[in-house]
Amino acid sequence: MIDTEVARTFDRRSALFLTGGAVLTSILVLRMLQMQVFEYKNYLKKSENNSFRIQATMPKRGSILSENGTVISHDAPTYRIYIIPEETDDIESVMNIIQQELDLRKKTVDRIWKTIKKQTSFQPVLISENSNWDTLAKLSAKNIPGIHIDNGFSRVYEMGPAGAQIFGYVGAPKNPVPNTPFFTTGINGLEKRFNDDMAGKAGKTVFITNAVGRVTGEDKTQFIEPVIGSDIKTTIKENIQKKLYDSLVMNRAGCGVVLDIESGAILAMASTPSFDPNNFKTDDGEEYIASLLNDVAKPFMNKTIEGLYPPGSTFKIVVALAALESGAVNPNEKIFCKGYWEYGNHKYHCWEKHGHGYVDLYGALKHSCDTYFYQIALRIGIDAIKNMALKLGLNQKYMNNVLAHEMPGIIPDRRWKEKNVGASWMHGDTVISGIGQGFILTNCLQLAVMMARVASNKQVYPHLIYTNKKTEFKSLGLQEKNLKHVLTGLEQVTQQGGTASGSAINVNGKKMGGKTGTSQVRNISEKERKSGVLTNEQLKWNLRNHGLFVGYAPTDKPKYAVCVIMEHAGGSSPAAHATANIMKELLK
Amino acid sequence: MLITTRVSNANMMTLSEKLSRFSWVLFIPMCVVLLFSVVVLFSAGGGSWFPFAMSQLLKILFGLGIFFCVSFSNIKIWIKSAYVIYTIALILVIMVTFFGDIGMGAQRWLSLGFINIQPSEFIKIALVLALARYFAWYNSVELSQFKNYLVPIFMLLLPFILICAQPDLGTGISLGLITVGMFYIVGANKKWFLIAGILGILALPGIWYGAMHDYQRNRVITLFNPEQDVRGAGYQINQAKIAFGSGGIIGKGYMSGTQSQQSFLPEKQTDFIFTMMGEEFGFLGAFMLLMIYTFIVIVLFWTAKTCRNRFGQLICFGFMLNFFIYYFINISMVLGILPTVGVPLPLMSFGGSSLISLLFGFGLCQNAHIHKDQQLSSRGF
Repeated sequence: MIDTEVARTFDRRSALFLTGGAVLTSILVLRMLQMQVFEYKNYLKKSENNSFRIQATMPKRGSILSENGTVISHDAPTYRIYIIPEETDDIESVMNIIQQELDLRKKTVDRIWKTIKKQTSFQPVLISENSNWDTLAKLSAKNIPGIHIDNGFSRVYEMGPAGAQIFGYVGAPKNPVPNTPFFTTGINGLEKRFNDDMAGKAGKTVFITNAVGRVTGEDKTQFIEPVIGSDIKTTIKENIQKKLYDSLVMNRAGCGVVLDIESGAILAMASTPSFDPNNFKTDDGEEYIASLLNDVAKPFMNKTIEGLYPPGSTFKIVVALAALESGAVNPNEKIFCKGYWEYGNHKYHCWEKHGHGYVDLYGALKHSCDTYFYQIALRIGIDAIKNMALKLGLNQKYMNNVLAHEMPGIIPDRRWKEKNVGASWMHGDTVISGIGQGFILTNCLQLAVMMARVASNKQVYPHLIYTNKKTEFKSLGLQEKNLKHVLTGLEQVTQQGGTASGSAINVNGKKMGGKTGTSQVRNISEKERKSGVLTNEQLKWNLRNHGLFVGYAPTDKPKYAVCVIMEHAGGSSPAAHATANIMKELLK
Repeated sequence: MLITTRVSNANMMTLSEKLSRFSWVLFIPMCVVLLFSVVVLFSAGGGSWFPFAMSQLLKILFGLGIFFCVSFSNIKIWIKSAYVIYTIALILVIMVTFFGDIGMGAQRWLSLGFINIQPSEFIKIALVLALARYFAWYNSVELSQFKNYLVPIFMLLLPFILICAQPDLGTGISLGLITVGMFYIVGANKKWFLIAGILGILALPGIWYGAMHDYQRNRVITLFNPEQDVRGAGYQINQAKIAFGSGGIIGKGYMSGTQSQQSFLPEKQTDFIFTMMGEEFGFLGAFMLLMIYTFIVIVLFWTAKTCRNRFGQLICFGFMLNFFIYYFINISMVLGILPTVGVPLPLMSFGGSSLISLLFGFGLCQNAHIHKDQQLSSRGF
């Protein structure tokens, strides 16, 4: 039997163990309550982040379509070849095989190695995005471990540089979302403006991952199918767009717009120099973009709405109509041109220094006689000119909701000059406004609109996005006989003796009318005039005059209006010639 | 004494008499935990009997065989062989220190060809047995003399130093606490504990800088600042806490623990099995298991208290201490209360050494209970 003293010690001292045990057990219970009841949500969130990797699946992006539904820019299915370094036995030798099979350049190989070293070994490394079936077949026949072939989409720009500033392009978003490896967003042009419509909705694939992030399966219950983006249909006519671009690239820089007079549809819109977004994705993409950014001729600028030019002689259409409408000028009234006109103590020169002799309105338009327009401009005043300019659609923005950075230009009057130049309006200002110089600035689209309005007597309003609605424009309210007088003059421009006589066309009897324009980029001093004005060929490229042409066709029932601007082309004939080519294509 | 006159000699007890004295209240909760361990290990294997559940079931059956043999054996066998068993366990510890293979945790394996054993699990039971044998026949006067504690101190220190050097801090601390607890309950002078405590605190800086390994220091640092390095030293404990906490009140469901099933949780079948349970069965499951453990401890204490011979009493009390320290350290560790030390969850964790030594211990306690009314002498049998 147990010694009673020892037994008593046991009883006494066991109380401490029981108390201690109860306290320690309570600590465990409290800790369990704290973790599983009070901080449950916190831990649950952590556990969810732990075990799932959400991968967005890129939907097919909507296409940009032409007026008849052919694609301009679209997502083409592409086969991506990528490598998972971990799965290869010997990454070096696998890379050597790939390099030979795909004929990779040193640059590409360097990029791949850089990525391999940066990432963990189970992450995929892109080798090639645009592979054709032949290379794929060759590769899969080799059966190299670690090589994967996956299908996705890659943007293809069918028009290449023709209208690249208008259609825009896609690229990686500025703030990329994790787990969206091949995601793109519209960077500029229509791709950017309609990104929300075209992008579609990304799908979701939820991968189950283990502790080191390796995918072990897929949670099918959380899968979401991607929603394909919607297409954007434009009013662009593919063949006209190409023709316009091809005509423009003959010159260093320029732009052009082709309008359908009846509907206001922009059939073509191009700006040069341009760029080919298809090149951006290549291994030389970065250098290509850098060279574009350094180009003084600004390839990324959509010059049709962002570029402002003095309209030059094309503005004489506005002045002629304003004069006729005011009743101050009779179209048959003859004014004598001796090569210049003296007003006040200033000599205003005509471009033809030998003079045109006696010219009426038709002759003045046909020969673009400056002397004639100096005088009638002064006769009717700047306000009448400005009213007509606004009526014909100048100084107005048309692409507000479609294209960015549109510049409205300037149609000056007294108040404008006082406010912006800080000097009062002079008669001389009115005089030179008569030939579209001075403060006047317009853009290419506005000049095309002006041409369309004059040719139709309707408030033509241009649009770039295709619509089913038939638009019936309101009348401009100009007197038909006055328009007839002007159009008669414009028809003669392309005829024998006219300023664009070399650009006459005759497609099944359909002819083109129009107006040339050259706008000075520098002032010619009096001293220079005496010693003989330098010809444009003698001038540095960027000091030569801009050449402009606005045209419409056919003359009997006008359907198309075109404006082409060739920067620093010297004269207007390249622009007139380009317009003639486009009209031929349109009337064919 | 009425009862002692009924059965005066252990040698004469029949099997049916022993059966009638069998403690079902100790046996049944033990079996419930064992059954539960198979259920949880089935889930740890990803809903399969392999690799854990079937293997553990076989070990349980083998362990239960040992349990019954020990339970119904003559108690005098254990008095006689207590020191022998301790010596064998000590030799195994020495062997593992020099020839053992290091596993995932700090515990070392001794490979015997077809099986691997962990001697540090056996030494815990062997020490309890040896201390019980040593103190059982001292009277209160002898128990107040310090010289009578010198031998037990050596019995502790020999394995303690070796095991701490392995380094298996968890088992080392367990051995220390078991011994201190035994000293206290047999009646050692309270002043000694005070002096030992002060010496221990003074030695702490020396232990921290001199005796501890870098990874052990990291584990302690991690305990206080687990977010500091979630990929390194803190990874395991951080993932364990996420698993346990995200179980909530009712758990994610059997075999549906995202942390455990997708191998975020390392060692989920061994030391971290409690977190897996907490993830799949929630607070209700974890609390229930803790209550069963608590019940087992109370039953062991009651068995010790009602034991009318000192040897049986000290065996039951020592094993109770061992059992409590076992699960307290394990649960505190996986819940981030204590640093990570390699201690399995008793009766639950996958592994044979811990299970068999525990079932051997339970067998000894059953045996003590069956023989609780026997008068025993250290020599005269």
